[in-house]
Amino acid sequence: MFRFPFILWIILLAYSASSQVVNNGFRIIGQTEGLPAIGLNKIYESADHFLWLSTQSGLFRFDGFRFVPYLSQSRDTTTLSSNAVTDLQEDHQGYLWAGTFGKGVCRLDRTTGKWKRYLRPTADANEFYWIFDLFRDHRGRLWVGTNGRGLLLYDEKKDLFRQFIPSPSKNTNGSVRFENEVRSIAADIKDPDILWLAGTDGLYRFDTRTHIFQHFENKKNGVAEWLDNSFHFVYPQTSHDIWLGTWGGGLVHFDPANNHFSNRPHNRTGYAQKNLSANVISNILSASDSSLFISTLDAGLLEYFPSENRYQKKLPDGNKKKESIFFTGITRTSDGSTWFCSNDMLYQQHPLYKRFGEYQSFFQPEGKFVYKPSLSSVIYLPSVGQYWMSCNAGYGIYVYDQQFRYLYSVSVESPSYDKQFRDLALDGSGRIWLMSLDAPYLYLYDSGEKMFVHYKRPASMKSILDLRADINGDIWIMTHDGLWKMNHRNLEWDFYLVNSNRSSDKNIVFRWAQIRFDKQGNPWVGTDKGLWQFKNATKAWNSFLLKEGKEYGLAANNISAFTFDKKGMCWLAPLDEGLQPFDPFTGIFKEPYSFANGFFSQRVNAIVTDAAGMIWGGTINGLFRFDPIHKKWVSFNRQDGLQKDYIDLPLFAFDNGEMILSVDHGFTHWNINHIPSNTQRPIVYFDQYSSAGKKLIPLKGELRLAGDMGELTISFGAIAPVMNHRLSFAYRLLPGQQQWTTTNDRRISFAGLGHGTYTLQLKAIHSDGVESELKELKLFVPTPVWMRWWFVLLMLTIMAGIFYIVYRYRLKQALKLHELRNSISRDLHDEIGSSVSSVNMLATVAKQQLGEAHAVTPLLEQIGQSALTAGESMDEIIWSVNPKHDGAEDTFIRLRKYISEQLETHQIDYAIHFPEADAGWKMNMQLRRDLWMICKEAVNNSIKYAKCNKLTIEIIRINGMMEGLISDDGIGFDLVAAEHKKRNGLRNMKERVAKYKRGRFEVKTEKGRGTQLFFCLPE
Amino acid sequence: MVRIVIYDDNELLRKSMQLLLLTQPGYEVVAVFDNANEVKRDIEQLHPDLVILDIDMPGRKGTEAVGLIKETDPNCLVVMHTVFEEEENLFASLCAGANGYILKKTAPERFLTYIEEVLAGGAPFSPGIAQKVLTFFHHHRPLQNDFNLTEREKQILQLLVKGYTYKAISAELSIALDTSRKHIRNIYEKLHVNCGREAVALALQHKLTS
Repeated sequence: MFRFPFILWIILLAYSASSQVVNNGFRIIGQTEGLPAIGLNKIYESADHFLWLSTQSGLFRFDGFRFVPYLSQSRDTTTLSSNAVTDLQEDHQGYLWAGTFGKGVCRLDRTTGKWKRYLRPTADANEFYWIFDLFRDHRGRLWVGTNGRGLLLYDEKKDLFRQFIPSPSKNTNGSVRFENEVRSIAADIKDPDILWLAGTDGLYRFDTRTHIFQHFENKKNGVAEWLDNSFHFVYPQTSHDIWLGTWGGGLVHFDPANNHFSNRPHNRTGYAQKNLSANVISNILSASDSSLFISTLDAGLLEYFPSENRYQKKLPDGNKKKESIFFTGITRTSDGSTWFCSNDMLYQQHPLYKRFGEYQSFFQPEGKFVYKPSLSSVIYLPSVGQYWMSCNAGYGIYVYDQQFRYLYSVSVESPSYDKQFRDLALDGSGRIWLMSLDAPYLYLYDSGEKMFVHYKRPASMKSILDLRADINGDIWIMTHDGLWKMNHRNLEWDFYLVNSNRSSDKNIVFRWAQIRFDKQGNPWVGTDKGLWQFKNATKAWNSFLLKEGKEYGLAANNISAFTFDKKGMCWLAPLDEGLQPFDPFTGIFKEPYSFANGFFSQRVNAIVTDAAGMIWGGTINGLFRFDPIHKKWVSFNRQDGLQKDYIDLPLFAFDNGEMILSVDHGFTHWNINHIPSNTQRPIVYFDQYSSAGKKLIPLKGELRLAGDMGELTISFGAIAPVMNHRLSFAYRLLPGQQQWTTTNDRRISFAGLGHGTYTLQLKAIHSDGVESELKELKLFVPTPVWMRWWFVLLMLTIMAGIFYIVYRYRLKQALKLHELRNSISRDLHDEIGSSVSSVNMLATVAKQQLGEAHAVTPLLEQIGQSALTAGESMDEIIWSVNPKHDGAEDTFIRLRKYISEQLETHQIDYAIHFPEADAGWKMNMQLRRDLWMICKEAVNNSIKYAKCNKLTIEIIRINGMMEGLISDDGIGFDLVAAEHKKRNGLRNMKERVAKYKRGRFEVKTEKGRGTQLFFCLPE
Repeated sequence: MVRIVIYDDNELLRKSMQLLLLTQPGYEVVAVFDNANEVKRDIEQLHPDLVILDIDMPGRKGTEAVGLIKETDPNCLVVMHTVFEEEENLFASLCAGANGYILKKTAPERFLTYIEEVLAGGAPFSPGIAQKVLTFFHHHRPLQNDFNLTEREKQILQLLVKGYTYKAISAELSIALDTSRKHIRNIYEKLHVNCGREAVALALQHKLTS
């Protein structure tokens, strides 16, 4: 389903009018020029100045360059009901109405691009609903001319059509031909509430206020013949002149003042023979104050002069082969164009299409030329105000006056083979010189004989390549090997052999040469072998040749043409190297203007400097005018009325502002001060937006793009009915791009636009300089999802969530393990604790029953003690591994309790000093156990071995360490012997302390002097 | 005769305890049970003067059973007999109305002393346990009030908290051992009155989260 818009998109681009042909002031658009359909009916201009071309095969929107189709698709009811569109009319709400051939009317909502179909505007039995004409009256009401349903008025409130029947007694549903047909509607010039209706059974006058029809018949001898009354078109020109076009009866004039008809057939024979295929008129429009354009189906476009009752054929003019003579609509649009539709061509007439004046062909003395002469040289004689022209296959010299009216020709006393007349020159004494290429001969004008006579040249002058007069009036001739100068006062010749210091320049032979004079009057010669300078003062030659490499030299040795501008700068046309600037004062060449840097042509054939200092050049791509100061150029071609784009013939400029371009058979001339310029501002518009072949629709002037899109293509255009091809476009994307980018392509592609809001500014610039207003489009590229705050937040949350879940899982696992461990130790604790306790109890019971004296009693005592010890040890282990007991306070409480109980049990006095343990003082499992074990071991030793009466235990905190001192007043022991015995108790304590970096352990004891045990552990 | 009922899931200990108590005159172990699931019925039928109650038993825990016993017969004395020193069990028992808390590792002679003590109206607690109880209440004093403790009682409490034995307290404060016992008993009662379920919940929550 998505394929269709894509295909349509391709089609849209295909209908650009790719080239343009202008002939005799008419631009011709045929299928080769991009016309998308044949069977043209009419051009219509909507309020926004778009042009709409209705044809038998679709409706097309036209901007002067590109045709955009609006086609019917039978399955899509939001398209046109038929591709055969007969007429168009925009209503005051901006809806575009289309009448169709057989399928009623349709209404286009241009904001949505959707059509609404009214297949049968009035309900009747006939399915075939042919609309002939749509007309909007001065009150904005829409009127419809139908086949057999009379006149319709659209009621926009009720969205239906009211019907007005001219002849109620006749058929009213279109099933009978030529009854109640309204083929054309027009308002009266004086009273716009009166409509004139062209019916095929006569003319009707309809009063829109009273709804009364009045019927007029063109009767001859009281008889109304069908031939004279089958009106197809009505054109009220003045209050006295209503022009009617008939089918077979030609043009008919009707004067409403006296209800008088008069027949004006263009084909009088056909009319006399009642030939229905002759004198068929489809459209009428005023051509000038005194003439009408008449579109005929049998004789093309005619211009009719009523005062003379004379027809002049306008189109087709035979320039193109196989042009149809079947002409339909004529429209004048707001830009001043007049449009003519034929079966297969669209013609546009506009004054700008002849701004280079009309081409003149040379006078043909004997009917026709054997050869086709073209102008090869022209001089202006200010004294007489005449242009003298020579041509390359002529029969002499042609003389024209200042208005370029042909005066006479001057014959040349030349052999019959020598007709290749070339340069004319006027010397300082008023003599006119002429050279010919073939002989070569030199001719001088003899004013007495009024002809050019042969002038004997110096014997050594073997060839003549160019002839030119300098500012002093002396004549210079370039030959294959040097320059000849003739003093115009004494007619004496000087010869300057081409000579330079370079050995390669010796014996050089030129085949082509052109003489131009610089600001100082020194002659320069452009040749097929470089540029040569001759210095009058020193008589020395200097040459400039092709130079390749980094620095610019002469771009090509073959110089087609060159000129000096008003500032003395030289402009060269090296063959196929564009236009090259050269500074003769410094000898520096600059980069040529060529395709490489945007110049429109690579091959320049002729260059001149005009009276205003502009450089004009003829190229194979047309004519250009180059501003040497601002380095800007304008090109001209056939669209401007030039005979052709391929210019290879000479160009001439005169001090009076006139310019002459040699063309085949003759010449074209213009005055540089009177070239009309295009002043109509083009209207730029954005057309289509697409990304990856998918169309995008802007909302309220803003194009919202998906964040992840790749390339965005925007196509645009400009409404400019005249010379749309000459438009170039410039755009910039703000913010960021202050410089305008120019393009001739009507599409821009952007790729990789970063997120943000942009404004695309677009303008069109005509080559004549007129610019369009800026058009803006807002582009909004949303922050990519992954860069939006909520996404980032979401991702962070999700990640945090994942981390949390993992953490929880691991924690859970750890807790599970912990729990398992706890539960095992708990069960173990419970089980063993209970068992150990019961052993103890049983031992006690047994002890009691046996009595203290019994021999087993000490054994039972031992059993009970062991059980108690086992229980305590297990308690200790379980206590110390339980992380709940990591507070130092816990440890000290437990220690105090343990020591107190032990000592109290053994009736030993004691003093315990433990440091105040704040809640933040934590001890890890290892330290806890080590502290516990040291204290326990020490206390137990004292109890077991020291036979002491008092024990003191003191622990203090100093500099992040715990220092403990356990002392008793017991019997002491031999430390060395103890070490020797390897008493585990002492060694264990030492080892426990040694683990710590700053741990210390010391025992001081002596037989009978008690024991002092010192240890130092980290906090 | 003092009618004693024992709840303990360790058969050996049950029997040993029975034997140990029987060695003492005036004690009658009227029943031993390996679980407290039918504790209400048991108490109703047996009307014991003293119940020695293990905590970790299959089915109903001892901590739960205390309340039921006290509910059934408020005059029945209950001594917890367990290996566990954890606050959770301890406080649950105390708050439910246990009269003593004896650890199983206690030497049999001392065990008998405690039984005697409780029958005499004392509050027998293994010394460490006493400290725990008081430490807890000491730490949470700001949350509660000062439980209407006298200055002397507060002093004793401080010492208990620091791990002093009764004897050490007596020495420290220059009072008779019996006097300190009496003070301690008063302290328990005062605390006991203030020991609601909320306090336990708070205590547990505090312990679990810290």
